[in-house]
Amino acid sequence: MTRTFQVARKEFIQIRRDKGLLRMVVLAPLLQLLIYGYVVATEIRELPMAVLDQSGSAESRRLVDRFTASGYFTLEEYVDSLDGAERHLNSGRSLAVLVIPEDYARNIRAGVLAKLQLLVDGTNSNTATIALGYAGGIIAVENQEQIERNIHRRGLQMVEAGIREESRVWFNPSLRPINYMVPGIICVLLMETMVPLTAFSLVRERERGTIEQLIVTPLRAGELLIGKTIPYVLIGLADAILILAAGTLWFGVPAPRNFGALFICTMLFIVVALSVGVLVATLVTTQQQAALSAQFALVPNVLLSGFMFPIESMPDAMQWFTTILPMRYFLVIVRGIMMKDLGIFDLWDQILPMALLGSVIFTISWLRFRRVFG
Amino acid sequence: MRHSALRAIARKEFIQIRRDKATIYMVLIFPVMMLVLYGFGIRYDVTSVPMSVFDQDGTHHSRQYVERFARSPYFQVRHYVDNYRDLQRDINRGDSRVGLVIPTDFGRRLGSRREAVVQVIVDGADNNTATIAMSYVSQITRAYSSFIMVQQLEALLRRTQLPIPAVEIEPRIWFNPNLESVQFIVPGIIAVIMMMVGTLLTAVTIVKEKEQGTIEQIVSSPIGRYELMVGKVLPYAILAYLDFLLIVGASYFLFGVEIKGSLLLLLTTALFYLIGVLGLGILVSTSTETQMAAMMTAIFTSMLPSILLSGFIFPIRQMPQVLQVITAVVPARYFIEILRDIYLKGLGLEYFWKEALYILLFGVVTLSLAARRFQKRLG
Repeated sequence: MTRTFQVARKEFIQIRRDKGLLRMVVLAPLLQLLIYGYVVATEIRELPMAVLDQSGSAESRRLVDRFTASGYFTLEEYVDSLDGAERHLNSGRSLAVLVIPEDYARNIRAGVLAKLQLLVDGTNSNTATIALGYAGGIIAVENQEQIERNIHRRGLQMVEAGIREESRVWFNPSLRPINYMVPGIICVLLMETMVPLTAFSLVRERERGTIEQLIVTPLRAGELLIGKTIPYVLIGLADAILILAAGTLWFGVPAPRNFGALFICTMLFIVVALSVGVLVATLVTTQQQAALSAQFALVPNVLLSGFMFPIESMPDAMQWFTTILPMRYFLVIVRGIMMKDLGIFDLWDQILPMALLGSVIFTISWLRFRRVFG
Repeated sequence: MRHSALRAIARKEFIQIRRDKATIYMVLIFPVMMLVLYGFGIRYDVTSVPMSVFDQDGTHHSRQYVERFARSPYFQVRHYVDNYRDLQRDINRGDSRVGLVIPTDFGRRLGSRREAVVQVIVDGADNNTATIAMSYVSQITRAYSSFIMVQQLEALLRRTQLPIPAVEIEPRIWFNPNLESVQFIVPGIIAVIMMMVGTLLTAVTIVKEKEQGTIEQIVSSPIGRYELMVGKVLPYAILAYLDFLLIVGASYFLFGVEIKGSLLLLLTTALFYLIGVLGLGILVSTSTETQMAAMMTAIFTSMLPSILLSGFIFPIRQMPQVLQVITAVVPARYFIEILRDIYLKGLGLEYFWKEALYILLFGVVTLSLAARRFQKRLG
């Protein structure tokens, strides 16, 4: 026990001396909170649009109003030729150009089908898809009104049939992005600090050759492992608390009520993340390699765990692949506890696979650790 | 600057890299992995939102309505439940994100030409998916409503020859007609990978000499500081540029991403960007003492902004004003803009000379700043 503490103390002293590292340990969570909190969660709105109005009528102006009033598009400029439209799309000043043909108003008035053209910059496939969806919705509303107007004009009676939906939003009724991001950032940050830091601290001893000195001491492998990782467990916890505090106090995210469950699950995840770090450390010999391999472990966890992109929307093969990512389960757990007030028993179907996955990773890394560092 | 000394340092670094097979493999595999993950793994549009349906009505109308959700690519009906509590449980556990409750009088009301009300329960935790899912629900509901209306008016409409729909919009997608996300993602991957090799690896390798104390041996030898710096950085510069070429090649051969504009311009701007990336790497190395600190600093000050604040995935236009101002100094932002202009739009220098100039300027400034600090710190 005392030997474990001595290793931990040595590690602490090394961390304390490293000003550059301490700076990042404090700055990293705050940077992440600011960037992720504001960047990832923003809804796509106010897409800049140019209009080529060849019709120049009350009807065409009403249509343009409909686009801008929706809040999804903003009118950048009226252009007067297709060349102008092309310039807009080339320079990226507008993401879409609405082309209203000369006969638009005439067709509307005559009650025949009026055609429009929407030129969309497809560079960003995501934004383009969303823009097309918005435009479709706006046109659908316009259509409905046109049809009603046409029917009325011919002196016919409308039928008041139809379905109205009443939406109830649960868990995050105001749909605030930051409420959703803070639990996610806790997961990402734990992963992003625990994995590389543990890997580095172990590989460092190997790279410098100090590991041989440690091996000849009476220190057992288990004591070395625990002693070396304790400081990073504390750093991880401190960073998680920092984000939680900044999130609730500064961004006004509702504080989690079930602290016990959050703590237990976080500790479990920290053990899993540490095991990944230890595994990385046993696979490489230099810190530079550790930096690269840690990226290998981090990138899929951040991208495919459901942190930014919902898993259900991914192709099937990828969905299968995500089941081996520990962060996938932890994300659901933290979000469940913080946003849905769930407890450990509600979340057993996430905790169990995470624990299982963790024990597999832990066993492999422990066996390798004993061989490499023992 | 003496060439023999420079060559000696660069040679030493090359030998070290060559011995380090693991690093070489990772540097070569990583970009391809990113291409596959970003290109195939991630769907930026929301589809297959899982939903649970509680159909209390069970009539022809309600089944037809639910059928529309089941057939839509936007939803997948996971469960048909027969009580409210099961619906609640599905949403609580995250099995479903949307719950649709159809009341008992749904079919009767629609049949008798009255308005029917359905209840939609949305898991708002993920605000973005929730907003999009709600708009999908509205679209499907509106479409079904019009379908009912048209059905009931059919005879009438046929007699009067009114057009349904009245307005039709025809989309034309430019630059990326099939809306493939690989096309959109390649420029960002180039920027991030070059940053990873040029900044992260470079910073770590320089700091390693400091950490191990070997830098003192080199400094006390007749090798000058510029030669030391250039010699250390050169192999990583080459590696970063090779990675850039690898991504260009792999995206062409594996994913069929073609360059519409000038290849020469592409190669030149990548060179400009490389200067800045290396400058950042040296700067990080001069402000940290351990490899661990160097890695963390490089990740959070260089890599993360290149991923999140560059327009790589998240459009800059949608960010809050303050962040938009910050993105103005992120070189990856301009590099990605230029790459997209060349790759997707096939534009020439007249459209992006300002951005190219900025990248070059950024490179020259950071590199000379880095060189000065490098000299002072080791002197």
